[in-house]
Amino acid sequence: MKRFIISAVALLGLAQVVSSCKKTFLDENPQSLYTPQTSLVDSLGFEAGMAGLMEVMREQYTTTEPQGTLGVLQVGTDAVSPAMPQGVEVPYFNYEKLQSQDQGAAFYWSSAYRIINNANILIQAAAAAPATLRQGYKNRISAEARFYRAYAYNFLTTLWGPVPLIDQPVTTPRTDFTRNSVDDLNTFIINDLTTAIPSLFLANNAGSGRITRGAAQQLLAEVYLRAGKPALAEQQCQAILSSNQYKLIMARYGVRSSSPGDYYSDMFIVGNQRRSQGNTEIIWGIEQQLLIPGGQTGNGGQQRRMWVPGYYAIKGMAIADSLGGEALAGCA
Amino acid sequence: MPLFLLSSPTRRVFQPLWLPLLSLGLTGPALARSLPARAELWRVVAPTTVSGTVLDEKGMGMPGATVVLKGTSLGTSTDAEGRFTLSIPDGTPTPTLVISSIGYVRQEIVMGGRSTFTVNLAPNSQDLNEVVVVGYGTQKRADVTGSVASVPQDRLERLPVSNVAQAIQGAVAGVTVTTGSSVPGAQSSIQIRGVRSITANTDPYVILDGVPFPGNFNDISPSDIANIEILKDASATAIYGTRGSNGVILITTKHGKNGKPQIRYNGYAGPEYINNNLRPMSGDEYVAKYKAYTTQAKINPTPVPNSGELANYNAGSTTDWMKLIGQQGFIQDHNLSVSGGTPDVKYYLSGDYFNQRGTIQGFQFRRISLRSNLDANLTPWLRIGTSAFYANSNNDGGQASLSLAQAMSPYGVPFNPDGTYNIYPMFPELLYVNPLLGLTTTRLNRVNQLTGTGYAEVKPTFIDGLTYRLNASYSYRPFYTATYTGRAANDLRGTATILNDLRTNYTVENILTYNKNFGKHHFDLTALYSAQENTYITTNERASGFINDVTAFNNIGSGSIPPTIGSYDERRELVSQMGRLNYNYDSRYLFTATARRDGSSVFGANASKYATFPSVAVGWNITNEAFLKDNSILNQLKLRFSYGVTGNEGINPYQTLTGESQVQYVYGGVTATGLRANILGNPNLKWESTTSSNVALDFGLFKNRITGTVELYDATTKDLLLARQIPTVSGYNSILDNIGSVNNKGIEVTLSTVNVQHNDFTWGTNFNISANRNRVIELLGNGADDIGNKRFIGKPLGAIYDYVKTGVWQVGEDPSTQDPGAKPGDLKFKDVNGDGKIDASDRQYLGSTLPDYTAGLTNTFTYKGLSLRVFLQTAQGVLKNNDLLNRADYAGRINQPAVIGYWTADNMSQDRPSLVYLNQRGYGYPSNASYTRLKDVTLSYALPAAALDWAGLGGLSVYVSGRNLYTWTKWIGWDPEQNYAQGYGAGNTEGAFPNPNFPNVATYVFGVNLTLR
Repeated sequence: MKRFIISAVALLGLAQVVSSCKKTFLDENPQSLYTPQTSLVDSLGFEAGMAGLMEVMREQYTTTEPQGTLGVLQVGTDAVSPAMPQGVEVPYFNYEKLQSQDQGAAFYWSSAYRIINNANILIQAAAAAPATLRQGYKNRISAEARFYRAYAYNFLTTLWGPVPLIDQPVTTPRTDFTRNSVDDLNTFIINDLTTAIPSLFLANNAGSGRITRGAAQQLLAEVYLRAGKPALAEQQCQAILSSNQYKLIMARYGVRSSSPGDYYSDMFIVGNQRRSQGNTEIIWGIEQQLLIPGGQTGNGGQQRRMWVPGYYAIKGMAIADSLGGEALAGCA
Repeated sequence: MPLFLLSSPTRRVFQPLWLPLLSLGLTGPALARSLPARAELWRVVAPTTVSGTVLDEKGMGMPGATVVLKGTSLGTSTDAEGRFTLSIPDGTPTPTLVISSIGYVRQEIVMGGRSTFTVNLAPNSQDLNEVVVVGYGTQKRADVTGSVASVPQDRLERLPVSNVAQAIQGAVAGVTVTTGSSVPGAQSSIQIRGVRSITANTDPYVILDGVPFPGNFNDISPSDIANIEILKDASATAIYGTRGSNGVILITTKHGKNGKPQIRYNGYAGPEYINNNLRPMSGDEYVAKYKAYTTQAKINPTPVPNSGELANYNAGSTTDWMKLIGQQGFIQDHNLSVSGGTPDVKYYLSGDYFNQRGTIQGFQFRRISLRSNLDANLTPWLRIGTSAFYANSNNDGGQASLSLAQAMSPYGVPFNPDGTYNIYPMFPELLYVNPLLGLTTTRLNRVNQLTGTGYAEVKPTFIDGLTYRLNASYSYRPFYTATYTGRAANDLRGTATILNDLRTNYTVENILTYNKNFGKHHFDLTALYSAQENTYITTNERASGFINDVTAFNNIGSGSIPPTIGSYDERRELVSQMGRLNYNYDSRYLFTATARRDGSSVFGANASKYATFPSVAVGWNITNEAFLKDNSILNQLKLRFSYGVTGNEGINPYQTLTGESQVQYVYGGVTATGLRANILGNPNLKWESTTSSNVALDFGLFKNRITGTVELYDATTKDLLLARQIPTVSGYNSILDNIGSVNNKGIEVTLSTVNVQHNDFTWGTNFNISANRNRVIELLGNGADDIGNKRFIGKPLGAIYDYVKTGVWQVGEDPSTQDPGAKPGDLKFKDVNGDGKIDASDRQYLGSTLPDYTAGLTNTFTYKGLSLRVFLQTAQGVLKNNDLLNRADYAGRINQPAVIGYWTADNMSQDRPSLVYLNQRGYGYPSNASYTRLKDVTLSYALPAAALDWAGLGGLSVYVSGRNLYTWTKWIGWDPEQNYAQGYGAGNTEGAFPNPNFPNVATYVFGVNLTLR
């Protein structure tokens, strides 16, 4: 029996050697998957994270799923009237149809929290980033992310009042979210923006499409107005005016400057919209570009179908060349 | 295997061989009991000699069968061709021969003056001395405590099937095989004892020659398989721990035996036909249907819907599209093997060629495989061996489309004047294109499977009963598929795709076993330590915009539209430790305890990646008790009980990690790559685990003329891996979590009887029936149903939740109190909640796609060398949505099968709606998909020994076999068992291989089994 035990132990020992059994054998090391842990470690990773965050942001204004979403926030106002609604916008002009499963509200709600989650990931990663990254860069990336987070909370608070406040990336399935007060939210938003503003580039130094100090100040002014602090709002607006970064368009410019038209419409023309193209009025633009990979959300913007003159759909009106013009649109 | 070498008194020299063989328990109990009477043997004088042949259920000579003169110890065993000669002492009163062989029912023959005999033995599925493979070892069937079902041997040969899953369909209780498609090369799905998971894999774990097999059944030539055991309960499967929940299939391939080389050829070939030709409407029926449509739709009547059909309509010329896409199917398989060996070295080598040509043009599957199994005793304490095989499967071919052929107008124009395919046969109908277009596409689809397994077995001579075994296996499986769709197939820019993937797997197992007997106590200990890694690497490209159709995917870079490319890599690892104790006292009281601890990489860093799966089982061989010993009626009675836990790790890797997806953005009009969070990983993910209990009774009556097993089981799976909705406040919509629970209860009965056993005629029956009740216990963690996914607490998975159709609204009926707005010809639904309208709340649970019960019945008749086997198989209580009824004629646009009618104001059908019915409620047309099939019939003839002698052959049998011969069902469509998706794509785009629509086929083959002497 003793010999048996010795042999058994020896053989099991051999077994341990023959089978690979490193402690790390069961660790998951995905080779094809980007994770925040592997990507947010250097400036290229943070730049990609920022581009991703901006892409999430862009969806709020350009989503095509479903097509009618773009009209949801407009059709209930006197800016436009619904001509051929796709469906999702119907409860916003026919309030009887508004119910708890509303698709439009669900989109804007979840879209804002997607922005917040992506911003939280960047802010947390920037704070933990290695020392090889310059502190100034970390501050600026964090500041840009704070702008988007503040934007999303401002959007949510404007529409819903008190909403759950999440300031860290969610890592486990949670269902215990509760609403925070509007005061808490305002304090949080104002803190994000005042923290961000000193670290953001001025418009003259910023890359195209990136968030600038002016954009953050403008947003902060809006937040102060909503919070009932007009004096502080005025301060922020004054700061933008005195920054010498922006001026109103007062003369023709850009790709159609020699064609008939007026200087006001110039900045809405493709090729003129960016600051680098001569648009000195723009404070924050969400970038799109036709026929360039990444130039648009999904299959492309549906604005061309959404904001068109639709008088023909109104009883008694007919299609005619003489009708139309900016801000006279219906949802088609 | 009784190696009974003593055949006559004169061969005294072999006498010492008796003792060691008997003491090893290798001979039957009957012989063992005759041992004390051995002295009689030598007193015999002036014997008469009788001779004969012992045949198995297929009429083939049975080597090694024991022939004994009743009441004496006079005996012999049959030779390689099943022949024997025996000397009978004069003066024996009513001499009777007792013929037996392990795995067969013993037969007694009164000689009655004859001197030559042909004896047919019927198989006995419950032979207690039979050795069964139980995973990490073997056991005598009498000592098995778990639920281990052996696939009857006759299901493994003489069947025209491309893989073994098709062969075992309906043959084993509790094993549900579904052949979802008759496409050549298609796989069947196997479920053991019900569906136990929703998200994770539900396929059983396949072990080939002792090691996990990562390929699929198509890679294994059925002719190379020696036997298959299926492990069903927790006690049997717990040794496979995390992989055991869905049951385990153990496949053992043929190995060489001691003796001179045996050269065998097994082959069959024969035609295949479409089983149930779902005839599309003829020209007249089509015109009548369209006329009814124009009336109902109140549109201008034209004779046919499209201008492109007019010419043929006016000329009265019609096209049989089914004939156009069809071809003569053909199936063939040729297997050549050489086996043999010396006591120290044994070999089995085989080569196999399988080819199936589908009944629709463009469909084919062929496989070439080679196998080499070697075993060598190097020293008294060291044995090594290898088992290696290579299989090359080819599924190439651009394919014609069955669903488009069904849709075509009989007046459609198939060909252009120049003989090329007319793209739009029903112009200006653009959606439904020519079903033959797929034939102009190019499609390659090839798999190579290379698997090598080696083992070394060390038996230290100084410790009796101790064995150490090292198994190492590596498998390499590249898959290549490429397609090109060009102008002739209506792709004006040409589109090419290439997909390459590679799966590799290695397994290393260390197994230590120790057997010891202390008097009547028998111990059998097994310990295992193993590691496994699977990798999967894939790359794909897709490009279009080719200047012509010449280079196709062979120059994919020449596509002018930028190609989309992708690549992916994943790997998963598993480490396991297992211990097992088998104990029995006097083969009466049996006990098994098992524990396996597994660690899997796919589970979370927070939860333990490890889990332990214990099980216990007890058994009682009642007939080994003194009070039942040698009972003349009841010769076998065994009670078994097991309880244990098994796991399932069948989810994709990396779901514990929060992942980011690549997106693109533009800065100043220049593209930038972005990353955005898209998957919330769950670091708490752990195993699904199934706790199950099993009670079984094995019995044998009348010298095992009737044997059977009744089993009851109850298995609850908890921590079901399910996508769970989470508040979008988190930034995500759902997460994979362990929340659900599902229960499976069932009963399985297997009965095997020898109805007639009379000299050279036997009639045996194998019957099995199993019923499983599947029930969802928990889904979302909050007790709520998941209506979107049609999952309901307390109901089975695969639920059909729909409106209750009660008829069709007829002209003059008033729908206002039941379904306001319904028009004549609309389907009439029951207002279940009585609120005076039909809406989503009037849907209810109607049934499930899971069968109430499945059964199989085999009858085998053998007369001398002639054998007839008839196999029936059934699945009852199945409800499936019938997509064919839903689509019908697509609102007047296409043709439909003639068997599907339509409502008119005149025919007042209560079954079919009008042709303009839009089905806006999404009614799924659930229909009864139960069926009973005459699955196969095989008639074989084995040449008698005299003829073989004359021809100088070792064995020769010929057979004809038919498969899928007849189906009894109420289902309207191609086949109740197979899956059909109604669509309108052409060729390659219709459905990803292997799931294009394909009819069920009937197969008739002629086969030969030949052994050289």
